[in-house]
Amino acid sequence: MAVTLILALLSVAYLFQAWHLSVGTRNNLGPGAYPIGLGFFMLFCLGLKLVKDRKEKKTKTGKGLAFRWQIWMGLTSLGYALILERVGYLASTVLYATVMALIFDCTDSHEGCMSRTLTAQTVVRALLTGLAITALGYLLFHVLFNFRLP
Amino acid sequence: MEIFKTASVFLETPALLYLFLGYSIGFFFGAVPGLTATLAISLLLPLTFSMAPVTALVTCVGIFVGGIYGGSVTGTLINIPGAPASAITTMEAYKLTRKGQAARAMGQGAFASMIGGFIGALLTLFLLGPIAELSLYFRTPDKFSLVLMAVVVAMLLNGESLLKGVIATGLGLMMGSVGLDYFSSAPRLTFGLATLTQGIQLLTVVVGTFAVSEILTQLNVRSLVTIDDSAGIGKARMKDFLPPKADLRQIGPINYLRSTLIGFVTGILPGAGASMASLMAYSVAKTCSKRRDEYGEGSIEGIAASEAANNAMCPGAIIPMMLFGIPGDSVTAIILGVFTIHGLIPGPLLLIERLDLLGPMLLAMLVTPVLIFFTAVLFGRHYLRILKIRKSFLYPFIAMAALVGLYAATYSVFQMVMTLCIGFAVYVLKNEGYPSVPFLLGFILGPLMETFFRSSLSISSGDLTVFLTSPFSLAFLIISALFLFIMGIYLPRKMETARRSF
Amino acid sequence: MTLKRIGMLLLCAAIALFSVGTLVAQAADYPASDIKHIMPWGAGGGTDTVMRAFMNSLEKTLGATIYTVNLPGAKSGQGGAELMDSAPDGYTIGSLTYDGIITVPFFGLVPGYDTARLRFVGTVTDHPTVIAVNAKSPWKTMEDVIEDARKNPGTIAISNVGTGGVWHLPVLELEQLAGVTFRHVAFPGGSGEQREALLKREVPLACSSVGGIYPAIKAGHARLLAVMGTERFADFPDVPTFKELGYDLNWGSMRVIAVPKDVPDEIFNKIEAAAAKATEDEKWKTWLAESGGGGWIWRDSATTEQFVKDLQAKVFKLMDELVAAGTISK
Repeated sequence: MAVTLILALLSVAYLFQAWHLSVGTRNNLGPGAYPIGLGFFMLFCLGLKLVKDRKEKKTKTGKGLAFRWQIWMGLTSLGYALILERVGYLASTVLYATVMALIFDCTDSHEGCMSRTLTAQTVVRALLTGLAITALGYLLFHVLFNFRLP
Repeated sequence: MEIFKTASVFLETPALLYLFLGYSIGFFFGAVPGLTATLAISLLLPLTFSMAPVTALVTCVGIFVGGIYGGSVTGTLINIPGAPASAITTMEAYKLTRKGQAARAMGQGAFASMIGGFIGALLTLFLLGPIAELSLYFRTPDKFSLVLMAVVVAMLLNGESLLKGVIATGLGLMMGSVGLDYFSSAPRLTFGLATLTQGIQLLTVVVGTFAVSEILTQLNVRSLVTIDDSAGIGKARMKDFLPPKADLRQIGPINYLRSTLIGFVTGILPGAGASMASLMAYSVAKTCSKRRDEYGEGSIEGIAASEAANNAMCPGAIIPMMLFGIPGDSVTAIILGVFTIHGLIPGPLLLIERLDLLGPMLLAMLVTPVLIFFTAVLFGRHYLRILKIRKSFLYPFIAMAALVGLYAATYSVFQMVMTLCIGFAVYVLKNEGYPSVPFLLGFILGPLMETFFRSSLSISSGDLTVFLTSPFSLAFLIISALFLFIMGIYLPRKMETARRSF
Repeated sequence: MTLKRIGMLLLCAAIALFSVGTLVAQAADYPASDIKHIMPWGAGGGTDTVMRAFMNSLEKTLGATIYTVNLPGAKSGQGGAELMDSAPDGYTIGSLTYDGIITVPFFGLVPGYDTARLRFVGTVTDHPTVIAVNAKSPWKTMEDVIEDARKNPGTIAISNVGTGGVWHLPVLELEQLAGVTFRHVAFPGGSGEQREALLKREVPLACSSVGGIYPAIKAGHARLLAVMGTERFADFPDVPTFKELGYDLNWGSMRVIAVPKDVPDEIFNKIEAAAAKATEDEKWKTWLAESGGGGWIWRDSATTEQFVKDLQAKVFKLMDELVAAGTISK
């Protein structure tokens, strides 16, 4: 339901933007014609979906969306994207891969995550993974395929 | 045939090595649950920048074919399909594994894959020329109707719910229209963000849709506690992998050929993909079989049908991609990206002008299926070890390779941020049951559809009937309408009545 | 230690690394390190292939390694903007084409984009714009076409690759000069689609560059009617120029190289001299001869600067008229 509403909102914003574009003439269509048509089509579909969502609301028990670790990973990746260029490949990648390894190590463990404290051993293991990944990436991108890494 | 003359490439360059390498990578990604061939090619896409076009294309073919087969190995051994396309095979093959016949199931799977892939590739080789010639008669309105048909099929053939497939495609279409207007170069639909005028690149969408969202999903999935070789595959001998004569006789050439054809035709249909191919071939084989009772209990016929079909799909899917830029499934959609990276613009003329590149690629499609069978016989008993790789190494590496690869290809932080956003959005949508492949297809097909439509109208001076007066265009429109009727109205209604009568 | 605390620590480490400045090399003994070449179009395209080949020769005359970075997007505006924003130390050079000089600044596709922020090193290629027909077309000469167009105003179709673009404007100018009107059909897919349309006789005429139409001529599918250069094109000496026909049209698509505005004169002169010398390079010349098409010239910095100014003055005026007429929107 929430997702449908967000998509509908997005479509309205899209349509609003398209509205200002020129539609052109029939033998020379402007940039607006297709997006306006598409916007209306999407609103129609999402309207149908909303009706369907309301009907199914009672019967459906959603899977539930896991978010906590996804947000952590998203932020880490975002940070990586932002510092990669300035800090350079080696330092930023070791950092990034280590944090990612920690996150995956953590979510993969069967005892659950938040209760567990980080032992030196897990950190060292993640750091080693991070180093290995960085080295592998360097080999792949720089040595094998001749890309210029920052 | 001219294509065979290009075979010398394999002798003069390390192309064969790359083919094998691609096959191994594809096989690996196909076999590990959660990784797919699509993901492998998305990661490789930026790397192809610095590869020679021939090697890049040949590697892609290897990954494509390897990925399809790899999935069924995991399915056979531990009952978890490594890739969605092997769900049907898994159903039958794991039953055989439980009976202690894992080698027989794997051997037959590999053999059927070889037959399907090889005949499919032969069909492509011989049909590509005639279809290209025919397509030279396609005018702009015909091309529009063809793309429209592709969009309709992409909308209808994917996902658990029809409406979700339509919405996912629509989102892709919307995203494809953001950036610059192709005709007048004026910026449009940028939501006030100046950076969006640089447009969203196919590469960015691919990495976001397949790499980032997959990693996010994997955070919720715990790896298997232990992988034990209950099937005893480690002790099997090479001889056990060779399909026994009795099996071949039971399946019969008709089953192989029919499944191959079904797979091949499904491949040509845009957006249908390998899962659809194997499901259809399996259902037909079941209907036609004399031993229908075996199906679902470990039928060797079912394995053959499913594997022949999903491997025949690969070469079929190449045809519309090469001739019209319309990808048949998610992997070909990304191979299309490799084409554009190397400045190859799909079209009937491409086949004539750049046979030096496309020839080896087509030949690779012929060679790889043979590779499937021989590697399965030689190394089959070691395949289980692939699954023992540590997740906390694998996924961070994939995340790094995806982001750095994108950076190396675009040198743009914006594209990296964009890919993360797309990945997050796709993750949320996938969780709600929206399919991701139609989204990508919509993104690719949208611009084609719009430009062909607008060009058609300016050629005909604004006369809309131009789409009905051309025989090709009319045919495509009728097929689209039929699809819409059957998949969109007839089948759902029938299923509804079936459900009610329970 | 909890995970949260680890996260904070790592964040601090990131910030520390972030603030480390980079050392800037001095420019006295230029070139002391590798040079980045920004290519604003995708890899494998026409411009990319030509400019990479040229950079190979420039590497030798300049005495430094040049690596090419493809930054496509926003009709080449992305790469152009990147060039403008890079340090003016001579270690970043860039290629520009018609779109980078006209389309991007006219539509304001990239904020802060301004060709005045660049200093042009020189022009490497200049391909005249041409008008071509299907080889079997009843029109034998450009005059036939114009005569026909006079009788049937607004019905004869001619293809280009984008409204208000590099191959649309020349036809508009021709319309003004000859007092005729055509029907314009755009194929944003590029010159490949134009060739296809010409071959299938969907659109009888095509306005393109020599290079764009060359494959079709070679295959015997198309014929040139007239060239918009100042003189006849070497590879097709029988095809007249528009000037000879009485229409003063001079259009072409060029590839220029440029550096950020504030590059010190000393370094700039070194680059310009090296580029001029590179055009004399045997390897470059053989490469050109093999890839065919002609149109290869060298114009020095001053000429190129003037050329860009003139072109912008002429084309911006035409495009403003188009905007006023509502054909395109800005």
